[in-house]
Amino acid sequence: MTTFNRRDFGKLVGGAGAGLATASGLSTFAIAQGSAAAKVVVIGGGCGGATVAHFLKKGDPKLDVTLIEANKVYSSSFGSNLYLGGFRKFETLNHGYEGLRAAGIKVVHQYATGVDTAKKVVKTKEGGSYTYDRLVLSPGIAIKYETVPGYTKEISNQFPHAYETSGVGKTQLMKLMEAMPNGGTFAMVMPDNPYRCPPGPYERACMIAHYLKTKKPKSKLVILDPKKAFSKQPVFTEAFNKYYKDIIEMNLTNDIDDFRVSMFDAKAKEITTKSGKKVKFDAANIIPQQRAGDIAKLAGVTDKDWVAINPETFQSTANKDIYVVGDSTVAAEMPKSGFSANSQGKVVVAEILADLSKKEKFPARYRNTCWSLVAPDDCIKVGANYSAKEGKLAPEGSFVSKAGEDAGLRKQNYAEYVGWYDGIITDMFAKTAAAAPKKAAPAPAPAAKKG
Amino acid sequence: MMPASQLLAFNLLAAAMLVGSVAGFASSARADTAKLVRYGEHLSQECTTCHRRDGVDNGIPSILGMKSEDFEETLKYYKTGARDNPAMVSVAQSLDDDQIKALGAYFATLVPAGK
Repeated sequence: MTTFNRRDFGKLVGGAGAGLATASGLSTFAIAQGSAAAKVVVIGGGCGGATVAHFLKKGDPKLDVTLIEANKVYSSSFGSNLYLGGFRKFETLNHGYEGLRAAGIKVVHQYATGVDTAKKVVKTKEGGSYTYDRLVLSPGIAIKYETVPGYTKEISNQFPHAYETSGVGKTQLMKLMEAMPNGGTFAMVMPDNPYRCPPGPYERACMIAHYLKTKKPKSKLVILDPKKAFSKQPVFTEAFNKYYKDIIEMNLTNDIDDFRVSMFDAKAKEITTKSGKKVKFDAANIIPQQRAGDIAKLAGVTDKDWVAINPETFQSTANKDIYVVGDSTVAAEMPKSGFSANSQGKVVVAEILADLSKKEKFPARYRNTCWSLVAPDDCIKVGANYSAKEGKLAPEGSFVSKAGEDAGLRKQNYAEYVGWYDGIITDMFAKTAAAAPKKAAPAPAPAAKKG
Repeated sequence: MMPASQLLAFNLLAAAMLVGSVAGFASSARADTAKLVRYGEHLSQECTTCHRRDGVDNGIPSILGMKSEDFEETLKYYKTGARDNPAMVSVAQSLDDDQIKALGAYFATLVPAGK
């Protein structure tokens, strides 16, 4: 397939390349011109799916858009660590689908259990049956409990992973912290790559450590990590040393010691690592390996644990009638994050609108930015834009916070983090100022020196 | 002589080339305002992950209703590094002048809630 970037596209518009896009669009002309509105079914109402549903309907109100999402309340994973640190109320993480309904999207709270790709029908556990012209999957992740020996789904009710899009695990973690004695040990098991939200577990470590430091200062947080390196490592390490030197014991795997878990014993409350280290704990947060959510496999688009996609369109390489966005895809080098899923969703929307609604199509642009709070008013960030190159999503314009940065900059990052949280929620769920009133500010005047 | 299928493909390609050259959204000099705004609207989806589409500022400034000259000037400050927020520098450096113009034209058409 021809690869072109934004700059090349400008040249192509006046040339033969544009013809390819126009000609390939003819095959679906009948759908768009037919009497019934073209149908798009989206499965999964998180960062990818909610965004796709919102922007499809916004881009072409005539499209028949159905969003199938099992949960009535979306409890965001992003921002949830701040709840553990005491910087956000739990309720502020929870959001409904009323904005999307008001926008004309059919939101169906059912659990998708199968896709008949030949008949183009989605089936649900509740007996629902939804036909589609185009299908978009945004199933997020599922937990591979078996990758931590001794850990099971049942045990996760006692020692949660708190890593699915659900508020339950996070409130369980909070209860564990509240119940542990001052002077106790909190054990945290980190996942191996690839996993959802690369800095997430380390932001969580900071937030748990902050809770312990302020509420139970004699306690320890023992981290066991199967990896040799992790996201934003220099700045997280700086935070561990600066704020939590007496709390955090970081065990990062190296050439001598392997801190991958060989046995998790919930009864004895003990973890043993590959290289023989034993950790007795009072409370634990275990984050196992992950895979694409179930519906991806049921729809026949998984390759081992994840979904392979065409990075220019986010169409499944196994079935081009199915678009897949977000954490369930292999979108290297884009990280699995809510921001990425939102960005990928918009590319899919442009593809479908060009295809079904004959809208102008512009070259895909992808972006990710990710903030992590490490201590009060100390927030770090990482980001880049991405473009499809040689089958991958290559980063450009990357940036990451540096150790020793100015405190004012870190505080400003935190204000951005809070602002971004509201921004992406508004963007995903078609929220309006009327539904979430705060201050409506005038646009700022340009100045050379402001941040 | 060309077989019918090839002839059809050739005609489609020729027609498409014509459509392509007339569309010309990327060349700002010829693009009318409506096209510019449409391109800006498409590009704006990247901005609204952070800058709220309802114009509310809760930590990230509103850019709704900003004058297009102001918008372009601000983005150029980021592009040159005169303003140094790394996230915005990264965004601005990924945009060419036509794209900045399109975005400025689009955001100028929006009115923040309550105004």
